[in-house]
Amino acid sequence: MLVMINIAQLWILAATVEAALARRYSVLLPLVISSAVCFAITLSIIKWWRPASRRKTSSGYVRDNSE
Amino acid sequence: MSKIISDEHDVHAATAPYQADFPYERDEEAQVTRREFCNFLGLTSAALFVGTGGFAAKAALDARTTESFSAAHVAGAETLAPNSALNFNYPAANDSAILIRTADGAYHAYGQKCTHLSCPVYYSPDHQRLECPCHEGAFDASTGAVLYGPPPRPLDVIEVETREGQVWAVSRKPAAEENGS
Repeated sequence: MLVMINIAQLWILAATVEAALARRYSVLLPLVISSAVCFAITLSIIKWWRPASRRKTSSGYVRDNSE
Repeated sequence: MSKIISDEHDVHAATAPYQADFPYERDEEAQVTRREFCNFLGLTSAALFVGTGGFAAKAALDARTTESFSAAHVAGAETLAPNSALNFNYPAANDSAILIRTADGAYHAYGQKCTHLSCPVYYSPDHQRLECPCHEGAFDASTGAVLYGPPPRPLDVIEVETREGQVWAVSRKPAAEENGS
């Protein structure tokens, strides 16, 4: 998922460069917002995603079979 | 005869005497955890976001500044035969441009860099159009618009004026801006 988001952001960056060179300024803001949304999703996944085999404890995430 | 280190076992054998001084294990060094990989992708995402924002900000900044050009005489334009072209530089010495005199005698000038990958375009008298030899793109000789091929936008237009029989380049701007798109 993160790799796919990175690829999408790469496309957005390429589109931004092309729009800037073509002086199509009206599409720049939507492109930046799109990239920001992708970055926010990436951060959310990194911060909150944990493997299903882990569970949260007071000292952090541990494997279910560790106790 | 020196022994060639050819596989992982030999590497371990060759580095064993130095493990006390440099206690690094290749296997551990090469190990990337899932969390480290995710963090790397997060950093990549941040870099791409910053790059996108930076490019957009620079483009917006450039749009607010108006570039001023000084007129320059295009040497040799007066003797240019109809349906032919000559190269010149405008506005700076390293900005290559092409002046075309169409079959009807009108002058048109464009930046010579193809908008696809910056190959120099040349005028084709047979087809009366500008052609890019790299990837077979073509531009209209009268407007600079893309006729076919991979170029994504028209050529930069250089405005020319005829003053007392001499041809002068007076400004250069992107065709997209001129067309209002």
